Amino acid sequence: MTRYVLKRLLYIIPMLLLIVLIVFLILNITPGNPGRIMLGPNAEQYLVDELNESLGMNKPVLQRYLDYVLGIFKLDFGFSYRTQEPVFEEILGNFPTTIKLAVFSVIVSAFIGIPLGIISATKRYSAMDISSTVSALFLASIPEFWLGLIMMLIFSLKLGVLPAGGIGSIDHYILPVLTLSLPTAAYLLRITRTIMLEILREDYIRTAKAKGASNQRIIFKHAIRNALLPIITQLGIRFAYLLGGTLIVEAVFGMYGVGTVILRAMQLKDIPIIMGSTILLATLFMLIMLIIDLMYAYIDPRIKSQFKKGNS
Amino acid sequence: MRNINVSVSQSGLRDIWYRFKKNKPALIGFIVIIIIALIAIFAQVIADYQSKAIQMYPIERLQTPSWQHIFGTDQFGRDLFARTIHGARVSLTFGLTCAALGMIGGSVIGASAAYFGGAVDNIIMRIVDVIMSIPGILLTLALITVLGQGLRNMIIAMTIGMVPGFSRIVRALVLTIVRQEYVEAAKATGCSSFRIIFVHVLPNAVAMIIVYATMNIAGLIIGAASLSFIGMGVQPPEPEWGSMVAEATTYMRLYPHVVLVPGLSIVITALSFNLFGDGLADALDPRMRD
Repeated sequence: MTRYVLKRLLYIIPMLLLIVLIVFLILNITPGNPGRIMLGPNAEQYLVDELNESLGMNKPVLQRYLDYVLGIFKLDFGFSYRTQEPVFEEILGNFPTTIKLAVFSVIVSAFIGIPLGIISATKRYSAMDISSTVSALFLASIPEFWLGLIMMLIFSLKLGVLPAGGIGSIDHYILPVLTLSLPTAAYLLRITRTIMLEILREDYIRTAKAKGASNQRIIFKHAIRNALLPIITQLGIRFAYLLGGTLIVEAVFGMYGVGTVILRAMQLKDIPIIMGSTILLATLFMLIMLIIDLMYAYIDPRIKSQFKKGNS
Repeated sequence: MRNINVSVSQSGLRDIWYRFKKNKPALIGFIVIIIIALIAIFAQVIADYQSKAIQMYPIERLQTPSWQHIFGTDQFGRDLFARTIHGARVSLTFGLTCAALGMIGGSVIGASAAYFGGAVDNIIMRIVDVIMSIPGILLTLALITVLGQGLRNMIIAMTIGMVPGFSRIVRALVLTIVRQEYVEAAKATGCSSFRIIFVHVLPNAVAMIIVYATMNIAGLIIGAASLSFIGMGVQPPEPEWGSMVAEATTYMRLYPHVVLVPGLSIVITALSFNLFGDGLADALDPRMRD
């Protein structure tokens, strides 16, 4: 088991270097002009050139890539062109809002999507199943920004029961979290239903039925226990996705989180911020996937025994 | 997961159509798509782009739906119906082009990985893993930042974001085909790799690949609208559903129709494609065969 964990941890290092390389290459397709961005359109050309040189923009791409990678090990992602603040702090400082949005949304959507998915699968073709799968498909067809605006229109502008934007109290989180949760819940419902249907066709379920186990026992003791792992994987993927995907909801509700930082950086071509945040979020995604994989190995006795025999 | 080991022969097509027809929601989705496509194709005939969708008429601003303007007018007095049908053009062009390009790119890369195997497969799949760990919207936005805004760059950026996921699916499909005897036979007769991939392998996977592409169109249309909504996509005054919503948010409290019309257009189009894609997948799924 320890060997497996170590192997997976070591494996992640080249993957991270590859992430940095790909993001770096994408953002250096066109040569940037940070001096111009920092000093504004009215600055003298020689000042711009000097600044560009002091930032190392004249060095070859490979050199700059190596410098960047070395910096990362010291958590140095460079400085924002706009605010001149360190990128890492700029992103970290705005992370709490985004993390709260992602965590709340995953919890809410899990509480709605998973039970409905299980019920839909066990009572296939019932009115409940049809109505929840149809509404799931419908929710998957609504753009997040529009869902957010419509909820804002109904609950804030017409009924006046919830704030339309900003951060502060817990009330400010209700509409954004709902906006993020409903499509996620729809997705979880569909995936849970598929997983459960798959499991209900397995031989061991038939065996349990043949032995005369009650329906309830089959579902709770046999089916759900086996469905839980793949469902948790999906939850993890959704959580990782939400960390980078709150951008639009943040824009709709005027919440200042990482998404807003990134969006602003994109509009101003603030390359260090874009690069830093993309690399950090991709790294986070990989780490979450790693944790899920390790959890699998820990919980599932079949995987565990594989590594005990030493054929990892 | 769906069983992806399917190959569809000519005679199978009638079977698929027969099963698809029985699925009423999918059929409705299909019909709505055809109607939207016809409207998009004949948009210029129905309402002139320059004088109806772009030209502003301040006197007529923010009218609610009436016989003269069946969807009402927006904050600049432009007819929302004209803007909506010209917006359909943008959205459909975008969705279909991206899905097609993603499909082609993903097929070539995924099939090569599966066919050559070994080191080639390993390198391709590791790069795919890495790109897929970058949150999709960030990758697209980063590409648009360096390429610049506009419809063409949006298509390039979204296609690049789609290819890795597609490659993975095609690779899985092709892996099951590559092991079949007729591929061995083709190798033995001295066919080139290129010929084997494009003549013997991919045609047998093409039905499933098209289904996956179709299932992605709704997401692509929503993605395009979202990009335009945050100001990184199609720029006003060009009529695009997402940017139409963005421009109108200030007025939605008193004139909800300005955000309802373009928003519902996105929802109806995306829903139709989702229903159609689901129906197509069900019709192809061998487990559904009776």
